[in-house]
Amino acid sequence: MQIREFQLKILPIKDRLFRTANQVLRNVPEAEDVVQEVFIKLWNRRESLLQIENLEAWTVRVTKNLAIDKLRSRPAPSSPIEESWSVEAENASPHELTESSDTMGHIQQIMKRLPEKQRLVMHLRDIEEYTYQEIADTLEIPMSQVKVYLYRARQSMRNWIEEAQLAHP
Amino acid sequence: MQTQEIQSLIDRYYLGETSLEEERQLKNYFSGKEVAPELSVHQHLFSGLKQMQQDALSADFESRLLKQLQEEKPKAKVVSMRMQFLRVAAAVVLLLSLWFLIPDTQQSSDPQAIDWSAYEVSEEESLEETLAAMKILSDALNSGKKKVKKEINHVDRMNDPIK
Repeated sequence: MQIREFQLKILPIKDRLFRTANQVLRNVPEAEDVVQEVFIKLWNRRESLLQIENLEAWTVRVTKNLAIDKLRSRPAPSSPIEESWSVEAENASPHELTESSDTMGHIQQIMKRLPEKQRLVMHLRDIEEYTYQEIADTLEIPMSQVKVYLYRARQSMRNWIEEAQLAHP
Repeated sequence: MQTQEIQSLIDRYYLGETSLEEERQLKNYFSGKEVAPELSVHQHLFSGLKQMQQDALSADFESRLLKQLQEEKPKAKVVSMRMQFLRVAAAVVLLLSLWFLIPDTQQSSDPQAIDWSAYEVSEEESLEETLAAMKILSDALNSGKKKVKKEINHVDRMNDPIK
């Protein structure tokens, strides 16, 4: 595969990969680094890329895994990964959640409270607009599990949003 | 769209029963200016999700990446060469080990036929022989170490632009 073909066929998913990495890392420079690393990996195996079945799902999965690896390599407290992700939001009061500086930041803040898999399923569905089957392929979990994670994620979001609203109407 | 229809869509959304198209309708509705006051509690969620869809890499990311990819050398070969060298180094160490072990094996196979007096040496000679053998082994190991260090430096240099 030549650079031009790579640019046309592979690079268009770059923003999707970035959002996925950023969903995990919540750090733009680190998310950019992960995306760059993914593309270098893809480029180094460019001759066999088109033989990969469902390349986009495979690439999003690689991105997610690299982002989680990066998160784990941070000099963070020894708490389990999901806890360390949610510390900031867990400690935020409903008032702080409501008064986040912008709408996107507000929702990101609330989404951080979700467990990893629920958050990733919600991200792929509500932001990347994947079908249930695409989510199942990407995360390598059964479709029934995708629906369960999505249901739980949305129920939690609803509860937290309504709590925040009740606290500060 | 009527407020009741939106409320119904919202309820189905939270239950995970909406289609992608219906979810787009919700995002569009809440990103508009005419949101019914009784539904405003959900506005942050749907308009926030729509904003997150616009999140993108910095504008110059692609050009920087393409430049880097064109300069990138295939990593696989570097790793392969290093592995090749490690295999050779392992083989050398193995052969040296065998070289020291083989005389013992031969002696033990037919101890009766050996004239031990021919092998008798003074303590000084034994010490010299041992030191000479250890020097050969040491030289071989040091030579291998230098080559491995050189290979690792080479790999590190190739990785530098990625960091």
